[in-house]
Amino acid sequence: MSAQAAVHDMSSAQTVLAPRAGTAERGRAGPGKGRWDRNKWRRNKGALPLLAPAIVLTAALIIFPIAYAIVLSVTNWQPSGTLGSFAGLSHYAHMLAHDPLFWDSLRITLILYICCLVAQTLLGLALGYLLSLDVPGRSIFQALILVPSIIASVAVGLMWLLIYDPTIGVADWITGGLGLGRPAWLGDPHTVVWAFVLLDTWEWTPFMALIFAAGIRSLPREPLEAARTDGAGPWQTAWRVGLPLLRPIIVIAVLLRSVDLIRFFDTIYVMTQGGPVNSSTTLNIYGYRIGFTDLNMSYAATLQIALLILVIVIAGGITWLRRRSQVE
Amino acid sequence: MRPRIIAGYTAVLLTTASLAACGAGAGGAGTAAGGAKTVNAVLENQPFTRALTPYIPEFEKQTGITVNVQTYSEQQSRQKILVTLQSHSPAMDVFMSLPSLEGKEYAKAGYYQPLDSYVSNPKLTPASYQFSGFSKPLLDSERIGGHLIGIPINVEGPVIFYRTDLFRQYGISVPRTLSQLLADAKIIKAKSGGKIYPIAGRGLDSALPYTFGPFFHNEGLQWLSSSGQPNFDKPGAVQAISTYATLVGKYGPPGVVNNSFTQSSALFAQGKAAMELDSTNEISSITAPGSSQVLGKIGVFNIPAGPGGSHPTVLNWGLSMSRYAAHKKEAWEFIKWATSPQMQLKLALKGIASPRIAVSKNPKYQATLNTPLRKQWQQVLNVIIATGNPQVGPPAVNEPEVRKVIGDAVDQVMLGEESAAKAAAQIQQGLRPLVGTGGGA
Amino acid sequence: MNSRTFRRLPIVYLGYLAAGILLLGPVAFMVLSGFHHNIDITVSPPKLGAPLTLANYRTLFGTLPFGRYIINSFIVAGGSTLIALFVGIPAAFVLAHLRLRAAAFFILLARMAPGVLFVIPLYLMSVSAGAPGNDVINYLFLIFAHLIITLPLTIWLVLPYFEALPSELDEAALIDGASFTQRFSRVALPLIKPGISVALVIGFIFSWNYFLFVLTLSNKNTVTLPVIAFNFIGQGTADWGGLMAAATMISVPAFVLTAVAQKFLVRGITAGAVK
Repeated sequence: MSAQAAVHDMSSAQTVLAPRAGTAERGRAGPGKGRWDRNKWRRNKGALPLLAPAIVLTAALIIFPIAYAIVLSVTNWQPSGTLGSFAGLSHYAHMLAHDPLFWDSLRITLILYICCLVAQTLLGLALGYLLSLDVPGRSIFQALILVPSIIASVAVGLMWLLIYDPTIGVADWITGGLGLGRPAWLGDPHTVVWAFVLLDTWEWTPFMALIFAAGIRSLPREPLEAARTDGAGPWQTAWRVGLPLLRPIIVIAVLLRSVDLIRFFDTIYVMTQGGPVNSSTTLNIYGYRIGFTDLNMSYAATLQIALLILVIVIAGGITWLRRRSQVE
Repeated sequence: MRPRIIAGYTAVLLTTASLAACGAGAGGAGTAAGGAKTVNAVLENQPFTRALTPYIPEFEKQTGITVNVQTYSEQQSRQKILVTLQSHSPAMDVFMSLPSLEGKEYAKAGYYQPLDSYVSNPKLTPASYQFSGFSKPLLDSERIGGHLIGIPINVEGPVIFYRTDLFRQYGISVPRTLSQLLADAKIIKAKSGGKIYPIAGRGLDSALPYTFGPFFHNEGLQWLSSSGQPNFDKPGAVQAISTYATLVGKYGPPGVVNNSFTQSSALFAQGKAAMELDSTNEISSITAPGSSQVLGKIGVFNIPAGPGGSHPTVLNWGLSMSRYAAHKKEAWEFIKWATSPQMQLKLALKGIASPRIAVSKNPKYQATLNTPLRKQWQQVLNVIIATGNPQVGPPAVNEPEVRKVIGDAVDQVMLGEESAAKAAAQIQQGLRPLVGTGGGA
Repeated sequence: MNSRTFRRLPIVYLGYLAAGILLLGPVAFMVLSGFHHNIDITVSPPKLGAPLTLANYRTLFGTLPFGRYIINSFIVAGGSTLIALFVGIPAAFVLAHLRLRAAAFFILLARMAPGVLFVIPLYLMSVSAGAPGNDVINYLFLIFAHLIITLPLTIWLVLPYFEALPSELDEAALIDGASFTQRFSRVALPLIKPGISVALVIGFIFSWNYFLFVLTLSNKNTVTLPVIAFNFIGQGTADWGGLMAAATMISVPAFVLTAVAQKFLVRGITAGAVK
């Protein structure tokens, strides 16, 4: 039974399982607003023990750290260990009104995020499609192609530090040879962000491709075949039928990558520490520096909470879009 | 099926726990924190540590104390040490500290265990330890807030390495003044047709002030005035910034604002730079047999004098004890051993510049200075030890921020985005809240 | 492979070649450099034909307890991935089935906070658990901490697969009298093999490479591989050859596991559940 057919099948309204399309059904108000629905749980006895460990573990892992950060951000923590005086929201006020570096790092974070996401999603789709084709040597190729994502980001950073070196590195040799000039890459505030976009795209496109390939391979065959027999060309099939079917996977990949991209840290930490002159300082790097270099843990916590809120907002937006696409 | 779930979880938990236990069982000498007669040290990965580590088993045999050392790169070790100290954890006893950078901050936070009572107690520290044998400016840098917070383990300072063959080829001599240095750089650039960078120096903002200091001081300026205010509003400051930015920026490799010793030494060792402005420690980088193309062609000189004279900067790392250490006695034994005259001599024979004056005069050590470069190197070090200014940057509690203020402003001059005058004003403004009442004593 | 794909074979392999060069070029550089002397690495253009040497690897294995680090990495990454799979996959099924959006978002929260935020609280927790002194507790705590990475990843990677399952299968099973757990393990689980494979591989790799927590939480005996990579570049040393060799060594186990995992492990996980 194809997925699409299932989507249209509303006739099973009488059973306990509503089709994925969110229909109002027996007191359950549409796409669950998070309201505790006893009926749901009673109908699906045995669900709770399957879910509970994950919830409990997550709570155990994040509640204390987040609470700790919130407390830090509203006090004036001293390195000697005392929490200092209550600061209320003064750190947040300072961050928003008196700290141009906060806004700069926010801007850099967002530029990096959008450019990387777009590049990695598009290239990932292309590569993922390539990987999904059943040709001899596919699995070896897939394993090999994953290597950039497998290498520890520390090693990636140090390796590309050498590659990007304007004098002894390979990048300028290549671009010079191709007539594209010899940029200073990491040493120029105007090119450093793009250097990271290139580096990050190289590193993470295979990751996206892996997810997309698995998704493409598990797409139901019927809708695609049907479109082809209807006379649609390969591009049309992919665009009109394949992509919409793939949308849930794409959204997940975008969501997961977004959550990591907004917190861009590792390679910058290793390669430029946020320089030159703060031109590669993302919000995460800034928070780290304020906390671990300047030892101002309270303000660092403020910045980290701000970053968390940013991620929640963006991730929330993506999941909301996901919900909407499911309802359709 | 309930039992299956339970079985599944149990299987996973058992597997994981047994993996962990296996790992622990197969592990080294017992558990890390250990009982008595153990010392836990976190050290930074630098030549000193690499030279010391092979001797640790000797120490363990001598004293019966088990040593657990963790060595990390600078950024990493700093983070680990900081987290441990902040949490007041007893898990770390000894750590390596850079007093000129974090000294004031850590002392203010109470992280250091003062060592005065250990040093002055003849039962803990016999006279043979020769505490007075350390160079005085170095000991002074380890005295913060009236307490001795660490024992120096090495000494270094910014100098200029140069290519003896290229200098001969281009007909230039070792510069005696800053203006001569600039002139030499100009000649190298012209005569090499742009193929050789006159000088590879530090442009990375946090690393820059260390090598910038002497340029500032050689204009006749201290970091702070007598009233504790920054001296970047004096005319010499603009000159210093301009000289440094021109030298390292204009006559340096492209992209220099992201460079620190890693890139500079790589360039110099590859033969692509005629000079390198960096720490004396870099001698091991540029003379490493597998990495250097320029062995036998290297010389070194102190940063030339400016209108205000010659005032080199001296820096030292130290071994400190954590106030929350669980094994304070053992920690002192370890520190004492690593900094004892005997150990320091052994390390010096391996190329570590010792903070003990007697060591550099020791004939065995002198014998290792068997190349012209090594002899010159010791000479410039002697100058640094004797006259060096231990204030690597304007002293403040938030020293890292101070360094960044200076570094960012000079970087902007190097990038051509602002004038030296504007940079000086920017630094002056940026430093004021950090030094003086904010920082200071 | 159908005829359409067969006809496109040359283009496909061309694509493989292009992707291979772009993606594996730097990797080949890294692996090759591990066998070169430092002199031959810091040059441009790259000296591909430089003489090979095992010196870097000899130093690596000689001076560092590399074997120990690899084992530690396996324990931590393996442990946290396994737990994430066993805890996360059933959880994802429930989340998908009962459409618990808030709970799913809550779990993703662990992935949203900057890692730096966790460093000190986790360290405090680990100290009170007695981790610094006790290796077993240390390992368990590291595994526990890495769940922050692997658990949300597993759940969210597997979630869309559960959601894509047609409801008829589940309804049929329900009519047949299957319990909730049976509907999960007998009906749903076998159908999401690609999802499990992806979650396993990605979870393991992410955990394997993560250094932030390990740096602060580990003691001398439990420290893992990625932390070591930093040690090659520092004052007075720029051992690029050693770094490249270390980077290669760090990547090899992950690579091997990736190649192996897709075939065997996934089959193993779903074997018992297939009708």
